[in-house]
Amino acid sequence: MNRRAEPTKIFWRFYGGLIVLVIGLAAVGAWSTIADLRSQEVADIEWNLNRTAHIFREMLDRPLAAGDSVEIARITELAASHEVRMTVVDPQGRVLADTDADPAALDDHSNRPEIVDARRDGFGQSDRISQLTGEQTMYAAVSIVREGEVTGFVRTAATKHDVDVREAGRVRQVFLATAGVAAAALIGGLLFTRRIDRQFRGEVALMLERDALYDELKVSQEALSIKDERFQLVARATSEGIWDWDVSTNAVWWNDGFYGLIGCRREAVAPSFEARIERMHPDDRASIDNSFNEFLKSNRAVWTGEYRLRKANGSYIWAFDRAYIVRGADGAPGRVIGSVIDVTDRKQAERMKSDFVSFVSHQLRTPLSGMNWMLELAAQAPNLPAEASEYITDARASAERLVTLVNDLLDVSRLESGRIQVVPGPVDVGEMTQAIVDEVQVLVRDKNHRLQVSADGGRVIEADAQLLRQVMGNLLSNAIKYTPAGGLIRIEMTADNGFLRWTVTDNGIGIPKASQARLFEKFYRAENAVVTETEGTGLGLHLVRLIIEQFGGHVWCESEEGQGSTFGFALPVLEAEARS
Amino acid sequence: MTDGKRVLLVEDDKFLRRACEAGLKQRGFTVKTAADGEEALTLAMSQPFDIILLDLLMPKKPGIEVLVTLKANEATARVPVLILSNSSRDEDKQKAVDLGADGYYVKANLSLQALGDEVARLVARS
Repeated sequence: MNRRAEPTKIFWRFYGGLIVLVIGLAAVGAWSTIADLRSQEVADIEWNLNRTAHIFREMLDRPLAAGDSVEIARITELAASHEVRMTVVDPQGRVLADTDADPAALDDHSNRPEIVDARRDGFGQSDRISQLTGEQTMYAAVSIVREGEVTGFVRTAATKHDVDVREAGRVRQVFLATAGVAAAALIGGLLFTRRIDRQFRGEVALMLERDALYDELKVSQEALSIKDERFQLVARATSEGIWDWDVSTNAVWWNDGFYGLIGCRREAVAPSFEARIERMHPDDRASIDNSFNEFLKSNRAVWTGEYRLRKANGSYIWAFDRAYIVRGADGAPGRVIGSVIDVTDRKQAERMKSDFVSFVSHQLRTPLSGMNWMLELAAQAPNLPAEASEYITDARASAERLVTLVNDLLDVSRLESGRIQVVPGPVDVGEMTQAIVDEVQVLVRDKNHRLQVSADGGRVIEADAQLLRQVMGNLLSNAIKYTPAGGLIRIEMTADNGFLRWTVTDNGIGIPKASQARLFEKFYRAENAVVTETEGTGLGLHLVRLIIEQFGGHVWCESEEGQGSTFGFALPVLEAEARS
Repeated sequence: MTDGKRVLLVEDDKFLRRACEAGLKQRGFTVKTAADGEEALTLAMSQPFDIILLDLLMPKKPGIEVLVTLKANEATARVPVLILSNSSRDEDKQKAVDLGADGYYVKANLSLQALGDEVARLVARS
């Protein structure tokens, strides 16, 4: 909708207007001049007819009363020298004399409108087609009265033919004159407009452009008000609390939902940034303040935070707050819009689950520790019968297994609920592998295995060292456990495509094809694993998968029954490493 | 080296207390025991110790409060404190370390042998 005015358009807009104006004025002027002249002339004729009618009435008064037809004929001849036609009519309507026609040839005139009027009022006028000449003619008639008795009528008439003829001549003159004036005006106007156009083209163009811009602005303002209305409706319809903070003016707006969350009426609390902070639980305020201020200084667009929000009655709800920021070109915060939802129920459920898990872990671990320590002391007792010593060793193994089971259950629970504290940092996979190999040397020797490590592809990756150690330990101890004595175990590391692949391969019992797909499921144990080795919780590999996936990697297993198995994971290599 | 070093063992579970005490005595430590937090503080304030082994979940006064009091008191602030808990929650561990604990162990995952080694190490350092 570009309405930018072009220069020629501006010129014609002005000059076109001038042409219409000049022609219109000329037409109106000419028409009114002609009409004025014509009515003047008609009035002249009328006056002349009246005057002559009255003159002839005086002259005809006596002869008519006396019935002197000779005198009437003389007066009629006299009248014929005038430019008007004169007719004398007796009271019965018979024509007694006429300047232009033989009276005997004329019919009864008593029904002529001017005669009818004259008989009633003493004077009558009409403007009609003459029956004698067939032309538009004006008539004036007066009655002649003697001693209250109408003795006759005298009528004067003049054709309007001359008026029309003269008028036609005048129309031509007026037209020519008007056309001349109009042409002069148009030529003058053309020169003037061109001068104005040259002089003010810039200003005029600007003016017109401003008009067009104003129209556009109006349209976009309408669109804006529709969007604003939509925002208002959404803000009203949602049960979420919405706050809108203009950073530069510090103006804050809260929707009805926000007032609903804090259990206040709109009149009770004036919205402000500080008022929201003030309603946070004192224990949450500092950390929320810190993270929000850091967010304002950063270049991030979205901030989230969880805090306790005080209601009007003093109780607290858990609020999940998600803010979106609009930044200026320089990155400075301009406006922040946040939406708040009540997550109290979720928080309570989380707390209950967490409480339950720690309760169970504590309650199970305490007697387990007691058993472990007592058995440890018992094993050291002097002069122990060999049989009792064996039982104690078995009891310790069972207790250890229970400890492992509880630990694994706790780890799985915390990993699944996302409550575990992951501390990612750079981890040298080669070094870590060597440390774990050292730890299991005793087990390897006990089963007479050979363990080879090729750490050529070792890389630094981003992971939680403790969790990664758990993954490697699980995979390696599985390999040691499920390989018959005198086996060969190989650990290999390769880096490709930004990923580090870590594998441990054994030549043990292998895993049936049917079991392979389900190996990493919770509580799943391969059929032959259950038969050959009773120790195992069915949680180890599930844990491995949860941890590796937490770091953005994946796990896999390749195996041939009776030949051996390969377990591995792949994790993204640190970017700085990948580039070098 | 460990002979005669005084250990304060704070543990509410009777069996654990007994086992732990026996294990430490075998290593040559002198062991005093407390069954709750208040008893622990009374003992710690009345006589000197080379190390304090502290449980977290206890009656009367939780271990964390005992730890805070110990670290706030001039007489006990420099005594190493080893937390022996059965909670493996990261936040419990973090809190104890932040408050000045010298170590944090989950009892179920710790053998008496390993515990004895760690206590000997901490005592030798101080």
